[in-house]
Amino acid sequence: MIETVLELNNISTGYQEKIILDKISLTVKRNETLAIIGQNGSGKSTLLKTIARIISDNSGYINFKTEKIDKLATHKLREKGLSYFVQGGLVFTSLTVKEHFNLAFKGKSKVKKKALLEECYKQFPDLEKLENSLGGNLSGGQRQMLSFAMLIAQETDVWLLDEPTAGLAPKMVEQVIDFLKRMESKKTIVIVEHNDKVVGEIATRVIDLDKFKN
Amino acid sequence: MLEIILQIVFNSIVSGIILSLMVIGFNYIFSVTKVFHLAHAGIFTLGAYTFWQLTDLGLHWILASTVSLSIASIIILFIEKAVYSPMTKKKTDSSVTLIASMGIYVIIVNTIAMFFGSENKIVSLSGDTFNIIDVIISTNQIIQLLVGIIIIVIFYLGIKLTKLDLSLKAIANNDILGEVYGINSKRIRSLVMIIGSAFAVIAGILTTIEIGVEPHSGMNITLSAAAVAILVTRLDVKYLTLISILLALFQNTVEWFLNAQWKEGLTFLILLLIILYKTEGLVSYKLRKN
Repeated sequence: MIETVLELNNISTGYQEKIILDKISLTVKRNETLAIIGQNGSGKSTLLKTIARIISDNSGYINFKTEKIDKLATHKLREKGLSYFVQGGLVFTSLTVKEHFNLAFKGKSKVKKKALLEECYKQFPDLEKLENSLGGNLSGGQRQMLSFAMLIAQETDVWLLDEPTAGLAPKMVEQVIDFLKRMESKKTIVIVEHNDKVVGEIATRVIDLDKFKN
Repeated sequence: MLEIILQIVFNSIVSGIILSLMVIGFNYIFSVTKVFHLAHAGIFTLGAYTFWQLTDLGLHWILASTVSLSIASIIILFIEKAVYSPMTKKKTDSSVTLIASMGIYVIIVNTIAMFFGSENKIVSLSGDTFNIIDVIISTNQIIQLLVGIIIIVIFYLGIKLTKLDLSLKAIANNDILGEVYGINSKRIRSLVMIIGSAFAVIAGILTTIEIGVEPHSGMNITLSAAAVAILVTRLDVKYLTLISILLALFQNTVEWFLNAQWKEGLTFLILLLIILYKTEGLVSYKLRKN
């Protein structure tokens, strides 16, 4: 039987008094790629923010692997094996590419760092030349590449991706699809995406929040 | 004339180092918490007065400094947990937080004035002076200079070696993203509040041993620190110290050749001119314009 890595049970969530999602339940199995689709305002990003504990005053409960994560702060999730790709990417404008790696590698051994860095540069060779560039000076495509490299560097096995292809040129979207396809067998992915092509090519299961809510 | 210039330069290096302590504390607190922490001035005064009172009671200056730092740490943690942090969580407008900080400053300073009066308090550790190439130097100034430099160097090396500088820069840039990277932003906020306030307390104590302090002394130096924070938007100890010394040199030159009353006015006139010309400040991250 395939292991359930993420379970949302009767989750109601939103911003302060405004409830965006009411009594949502879903499960995510290991190594599946679940795409969350829906109209603007349907609560796709709110759902990911709630799992990532950016929004924390929800009712119901969230299980990650075998642990309840409702009471955890966002910074604890990485060590549990969960990464959250924030809408817009994982890039600090005032940190260099090298500093991003140092931050993502924090707490890892030298050997591990070296291996992860090699893996990141293998996946995204262009990043090696940009080592000393500030995040704020990268192009949209470079920012997205750095963000995906950060996911690899964090060495987590479950990824929450909030619109990773937003604003990218078609050629870059193809590269993102290729990358995610390469990762599919190793990672569990929950992706919020507007681009039908991305959803069609990588999702193993799709949830339409508009239908889900009705 | 040469000896006057040398005297101004030496005095500016000393007062610039003390200003640097205020600037580093203010800038790190502002960058990480986004609170324009004018109550920093109150912490400066609180530290100085606690030190004065304890040495007056006969405590050794090292013990008096330690107790002053501890009291300031407890008070700033209370302010962070009871005022700043809840306001940040509720996404309160920055102008409201500024007023709250101003209110805290008024409460601290008025309480101090009520209990200790408004006259200048000095704890002179030494009355000795000596001359080097016609520059009059007091032992207290040497203490100010050495302690200030040692504290700044320890801080600079400490945050580099522990990689804390990276976490500080990350949270200052984007606290939610910092959390996603595994940084405990609440702990970083509390830590920066304590370290920043320790810098203000040390600046207060160092001021007490040479020219002394009165309840409102903290505000002028904090406004100068805020001016440097606007000119240097990078979290970089080297630039913050350099610009602080240059500002002290400017202020001491104005004071010597014009009048002490012109000092703050001209500082802010220059600040306005620089900001009008370079909105991002003198030292900032060079980001491309989209």
